[in-house]
Amino acid sequence: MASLSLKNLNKIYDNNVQAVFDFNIDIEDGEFIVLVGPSGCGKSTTLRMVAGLEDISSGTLIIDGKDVTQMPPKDRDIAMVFQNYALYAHMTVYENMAFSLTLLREDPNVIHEKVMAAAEILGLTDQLNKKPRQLSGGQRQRVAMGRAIVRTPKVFLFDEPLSNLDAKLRGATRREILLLHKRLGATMIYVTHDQTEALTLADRIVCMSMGYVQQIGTPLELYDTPANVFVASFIGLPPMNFFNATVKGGKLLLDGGESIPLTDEEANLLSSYNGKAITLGVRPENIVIGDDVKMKVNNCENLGQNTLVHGTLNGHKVTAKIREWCSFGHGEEIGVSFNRKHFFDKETTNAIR
Amino acid sequence: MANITDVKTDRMRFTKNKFSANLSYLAIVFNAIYFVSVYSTDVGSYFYNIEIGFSVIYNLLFMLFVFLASEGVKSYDLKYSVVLTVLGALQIVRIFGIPMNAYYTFIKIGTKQVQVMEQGQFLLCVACLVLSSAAAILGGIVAYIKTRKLRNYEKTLAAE
Repeated sequence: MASLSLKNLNKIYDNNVQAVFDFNIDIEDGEFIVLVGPSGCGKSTTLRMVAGLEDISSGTLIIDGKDVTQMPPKDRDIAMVFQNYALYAHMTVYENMAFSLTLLREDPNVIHEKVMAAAEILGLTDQLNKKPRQLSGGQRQRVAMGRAIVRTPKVFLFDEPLSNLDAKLRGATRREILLLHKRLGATMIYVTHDQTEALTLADRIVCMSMGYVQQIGTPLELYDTPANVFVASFIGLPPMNFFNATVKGGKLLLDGGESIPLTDEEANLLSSYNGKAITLGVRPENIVIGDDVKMKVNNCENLGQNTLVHGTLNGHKVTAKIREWCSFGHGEEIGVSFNRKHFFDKETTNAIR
Repeated sequence: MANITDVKTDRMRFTKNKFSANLSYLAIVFNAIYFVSVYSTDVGSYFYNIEIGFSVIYNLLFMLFVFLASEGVKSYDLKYSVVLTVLGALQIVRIFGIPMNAYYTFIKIGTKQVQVMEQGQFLLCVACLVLSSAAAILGGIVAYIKTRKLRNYEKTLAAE
């Protein structure tokens, strides 16, 4: 296992397109880091730079105190699990898992012991004589993970490993990865565009957009104190509701006329923004039935424990997650309150703290 | 994994018997060399009889069945190890067929007695058949031993 340090990593392609800008992070031994962001944000490119599959245009990559920036992939002692599994179709599960060690000319008995141990961890012992085509998607992904495990690498890299699986299998495999991390205590870097995976798996999340790191923090930090509008909108499901508003004394005046009272703490926070326009963010789960503002209901989605109420508030589209079973009619007006608010600077989009 | 012998046997559950399979391929290769060597000389149309037809068919069938047996022994099938051994033994018997007859046969052409198969060609044919036979028999025996060992190990596993 190993610690990693990525210092000022940049990736500029031959056509002068820059995919990653100044990526900095120190990853501790045994940490589970998730890179999350929309397609094209540079997360896979960053992962591939760590793996050595992409050249690092500038910056330094240090693994266990050793500069590996220019080192070829095979010497970095890193194992990568790909989205499409990348299994050898003509080999059995056992042969697939043993292949990398065979190339390293390890003793066959040692290989056998490692493969059997990995198969047991992943619950693949009964599948070892099967070919990949005889396995389900989840089992194939486990084989791909097993192939990484047998090498006992310093770092595990996962490039959207669950994207090819159906929703049910994705959940089950996600839990397996989490258990695997707990069991191996290995340093893992995981790329996904699915924020649920990021929130459930990560020790720390790196949220990226347009090649820039937007925020690095624990799942709770990203959810509870997003650094900017992008992070606030990307993390959380359903996504955060945003309103244009102006700070007026102890109140927030929403575009469209409605005003929302601020607590003393919130008023203090926004004291330097008096008379200025800001962006107000409210998570759907922070909207409760109340009497601060009126919301016009479009439709309701009952999810059992919660109800998603979609509607408009001063012309803004709003989604509220009400913690009870309710059925409001189309066009019905209900009173709501915001029990937690996030404020963002209108110009910089950064959180106001 | 109690000890090294167990690991070796346990490994066989998931790995193919490539050693025996490779010996089978070697048997095919030596047989092919024999096949192209045995009729390379002809004296007075000695070989032009019904025997050559059977010989050609046998060569083709031998190669086919050894290939099938190689696939069988690769996946530890006991009956194919027996087939491979028998086919190997038959290669020795074949030495006393066409090569030996041709070697001891002299045909009168004009005033001269000409040997149908000279010593060099005869030795090459015998060497090919012996090597082919050795490879097949060794492959068969190794496959038999390994397969029995694996089956017994699997029985003990099932009993546990």
